[in-house]
This record gives sequence, structure tokens and C-alpha cells, in this order.
Amino acid sequence: MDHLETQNAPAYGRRTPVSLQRPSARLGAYSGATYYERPALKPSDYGQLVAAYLFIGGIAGAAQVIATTADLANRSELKDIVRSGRYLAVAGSIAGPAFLIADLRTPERWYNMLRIFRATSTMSIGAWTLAAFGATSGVALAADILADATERPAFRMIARIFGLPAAATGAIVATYTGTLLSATSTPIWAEAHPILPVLFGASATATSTAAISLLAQRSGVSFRQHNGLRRLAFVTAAAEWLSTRMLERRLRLRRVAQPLLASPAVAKTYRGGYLVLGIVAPAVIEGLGWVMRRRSRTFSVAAAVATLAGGYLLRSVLLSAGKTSALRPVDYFTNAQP
Amino acid sequence: MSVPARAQEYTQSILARAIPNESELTCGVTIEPGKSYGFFTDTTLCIGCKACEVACKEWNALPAEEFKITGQSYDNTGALSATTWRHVSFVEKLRDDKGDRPSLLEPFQSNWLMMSDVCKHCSPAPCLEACPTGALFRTEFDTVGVQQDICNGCTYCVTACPFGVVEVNETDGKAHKCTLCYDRLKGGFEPACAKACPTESIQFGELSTLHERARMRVETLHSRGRTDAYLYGAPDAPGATGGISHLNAFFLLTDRPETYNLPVAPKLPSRRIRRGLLAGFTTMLALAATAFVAFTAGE
Repeated sequence: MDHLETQNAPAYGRRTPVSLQRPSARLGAYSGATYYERPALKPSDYGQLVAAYLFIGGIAGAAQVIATTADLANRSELKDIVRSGRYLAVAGSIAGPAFLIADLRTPERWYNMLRIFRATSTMSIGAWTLAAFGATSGVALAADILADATERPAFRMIARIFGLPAAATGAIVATYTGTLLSATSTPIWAEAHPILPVLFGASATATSTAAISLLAQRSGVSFRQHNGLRRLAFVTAAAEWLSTRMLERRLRLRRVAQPLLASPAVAKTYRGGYLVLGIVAPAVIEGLGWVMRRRSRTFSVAAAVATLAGGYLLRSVLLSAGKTSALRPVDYFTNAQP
Repeated sequence: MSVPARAQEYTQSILARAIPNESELTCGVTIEPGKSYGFFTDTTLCIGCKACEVACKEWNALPAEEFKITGQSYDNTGALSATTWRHVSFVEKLRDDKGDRPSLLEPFQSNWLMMSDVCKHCSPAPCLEACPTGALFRTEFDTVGVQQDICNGCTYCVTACPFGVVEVNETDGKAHKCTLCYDRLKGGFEPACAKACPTESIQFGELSTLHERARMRVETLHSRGRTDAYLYGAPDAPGATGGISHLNAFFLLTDRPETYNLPVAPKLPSRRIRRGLLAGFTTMLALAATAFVAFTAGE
């Protein structure tokens, strides 16, 4: 507020009507004032353990979605994809929470996550979804294995039925983490709403496609399977690329992009590690294989490994950018205007 | 505030036991469960003595911070934290808009702003909404508390808070913040900071009473020439925005909220959940449809 103006105004002794309804209108535009440039928010303390969970949870959730989709396509040649996806889902629903629990400051009380359900807490929604995902994924995988072992069609049916809720919860597990970050006060995450869950979904599908192709390769992948996964990899890479364009545009528009796009170490990892290594490189490698009409295992493995590495780095840089973002009061105040 | 008649009953300096409903004597408030209580912090009365900080630390047995000089006026506390639940900020306005030293000192903190910051006990509270364990809860006095015997240190409340108040203490691995002296309220005592405040800059009371008192104070200040006085966190005022209907601990300020490290328009983060989840689920549905085509194409 302008102090000189107040000084010069003949306000003393005069009764000014009090507008309590819209005092914010009198404040005017934000000029960048801060309190000694001190942070106005507390930064998140999410580190590599949480990055690992975001990565693993994404793969597990999307793997179940891909497995169930392949199962519904009902083709015998897709069997390896179904099985690999279900394995990844179960493995991820065990490993993922382990990382989450390890990140708690009081890990021995992890079970309090299931003490209540709170629809206003993405963390609570996630905990319960993860539990349901693990349970249904476990049944689907067990039934799938039993179907092979006993050759009873009933088990195949059970696997297919439980695959549906497992895939539905898997779709949430793969993407709720984007909402979890956006539903905070950290400027760069909050302003990324609702692009973050879209990006996480695309990246989760890309990384789980890569993980499935790595697993399926071991059991000798068929030409059709390979082509199906390759097509999916292209589409998800395009979806990821588009999401990142949208994300960057939004972050620049809201003036919160600095921690991700301009701080040296993070920006380098984001561009070189995620955009180039994680999205462009795998697409080029797979594209080469396509053009050369080669079913080269080396090409596929290289593309898959690059996708996985990029997917991890994306989560890691988003978390460290969030930490920096919360410590920048101007980023917050600029977006906390009426 | 006049001395209540009941105070005449306690003239000795050492009492054998606590006075029942002591808050009636110290601030004229009868504390009853089911009513809304809060703080009205009038920054034009703050003299920066930090008695509130000390009283809070003493009553809540909070450890001292590492001794350091920040060089930021008299603010060597810095910020609210897991172990600091009242924080007096000092803004020295040494230059006016033209960069000159102001030649005239107006009354009521014109060139040296002091403000005792505290947890806002938002309604609804973003930290409480984010807590997955139910450790954060709304008390019978309409304040927000943390149950350290339930908290598992997930730190989600820390990122949810739009005021940077809650913090997880690395020593015990639990979230901590101002409880609005929950234990004192239960015993019929005024919160420690409000009781210790020598200028009544911090006023404790029933929220509706405080709102009324605060509005009158703004009118008084306006009539005396401080037309820049306004409320922060009262209903329909800055600070009570984006789904936050009001702050149970609200303030009277004379400069932009950012000057005091407060956002003009904080938002309730939970409002982004529904659309976020929907966006994620739709993405996965679209990609699953793509996968179906990818797997079955090329017949």
C-alpha cells in the first residue's frame, strides 16, 4: 500500500467508510515484495525413495492396464504380454509401498495410512487404491498361473474378471501421484494441474511398455507381440512429448518454470535425461529398427532401457524442482493473487 | 478491558491451585466446547517484544533454536517451524517509494511493521484435509491440532499448508504446529501467547466476537487516518480465499500481505483432486484403447 499517498491524503479526523467486503481490490498489482526473500512455504522433503516409488508405482499400475487390455484382445500370441504385465503389477505393488514406507519419518506406523479414508487427501486415496490394486492384482496373477498349471478354464475366467478391477485401480495408481503433487501448495506442482497426472500416465505407460518388452523378450517374443509393443511405445512417446510441451508452456505462463527449466543441474537432467534419453532416443532407435525391418533384440533392449532411465529421471527432477519452487516466495505470491 | 469482578477474589500472588475458568479473568472469555475460538492479531499494537514467542516455548516445552543473528531487523527467529509456533516478523521501511528516507512518522507502525505470526487454524484446513492418518484433527474448540501418537511422518501436510506453518520434526519424526494451546483451552486457560502479550496485539476469544471487535478496530483506525488498515483472514477478506472460508487466527495488517510473508489469495489444494484424478484416469483409458488397437492391428 502506498504510504506517501496515505500521508498526503487529508484522512485524519475523517471517517472513511470501511470496505471489508473487497479489501483485496485496494491492494493493487503485486510488485514482487517479499519478506527478506524468505520462503513463504515449507519445501517438500521427497527424495530418491519417493522418486523410486513414483517410478515403480507408475510401471505397476500401467502394466496391469496393458496386461488386461491384451487379455481382453483374447489372442494366444499376447499371452506373454499378459503374464509379464501381471507379474510387474504384483511386483510393483509389493516393492512400491516398501519405498513409501521407508520414506515415512515414523515408518513403524505405516499402517495408520489405512486407519481412516479421507477423500480430500490424495495420499489417503492413493493408499487405499494401492491396497485394492495389490489385492486384485495378486488374485489375477495367481489365477493366471493356476490356469496354466491345472488347465482349468475356470481359473482363466477368474483371472480375467479380477483383471478388470486390477486394471481400473492400476490406472489410478499410475496417475494419482501427479494429482498428489498438484494438490499441494508447492507452486510448480500446483500450477502444473491438471497436466501432471496426464504426463505421469503417459510416462507410466511408456515405462511399463518398456519393462514388459524387456520381460517378454526373455521368453522369446513373437513378431506380432513385438510390433504391438513397438506401436504402443511410439504412441506413448508422442503422448509424453505433447504433455511436456503443454507442461512447459503452462509453467512459463505462470512464471514458475525456473526450478525445472532454468536451474542448471535440474534443467540439464530434465532435457538431456528425460526429453532426449527417455523420449527421443527410444523413438529413434525403434524407428531405425522399423525402417531397417529388423527384429533386432539389441535395438529393443536399448530403447527400453533408455525409456526406463528417462522415466525415473523425470520423477526425480520434478521432485527436486518442487523443493526449489517452494523456497521461491515470488513464484508463490505471483500465483496467489485474487 | 476492565478488570472482571471475579479477579478481586484472587488478590494473593501465589495461588494454591489453578483458578477455575481463569480465561474469564484474563480475557473475559468463557471457554466451552462446541464454540469457535481463535486469535485476532492486531499488528498495529505489536511492539515486537517476542513475549508471545517465549510464552509459547515455555508452555509447550519447545526447545530453543540454534542461536544466530539473521541481520533481518530484529527477526532472529526467522520463520515458524516444528519447534517455533509464534514468530514475530519485523519489517523496517527505511525507504519510501521514491527511495528516500521517510521524513514523517505516522502513528500505528507506519515505518516499522511488527507482526506475531502463528498457525492460521484455517477453516477448512489444507493440512487437515491432506492428512491420510487422521492425526490432524479439528478440536471441539474449532481449532486444528496434531495427534503425535497417530502421525507417521508422511510430511504431506507440510506441502499442503499454504502458509508454510506445519513442519515435521526430524528428531521425533512427527508433524508439529501451534495447537492454539489445546490443553490450556481444555483447562479453561487463555492460550499462553495471548495471555503474555502486553499490548493486547494478540487477542484470544470466540471468533464471532473477535470478528466484530476487529471490524470496529479497522473503523477506528480508518477514522484516525490509517486508511490502509484491513483485515487478513476474516470472512471475505484477503487470506480467506480459494475455498478457505476464514482463518481462525486472523490479522489486522497495514501493508500488502506479501510484506509480512503472507499470500493475498491462498487456495485450498484439495480442490484440484477431482479434476486431477479424472485427467489421469482418462489418459490411461485413452492409452488402453490405443494399446488394444496396437495389439490387434495388422491382421
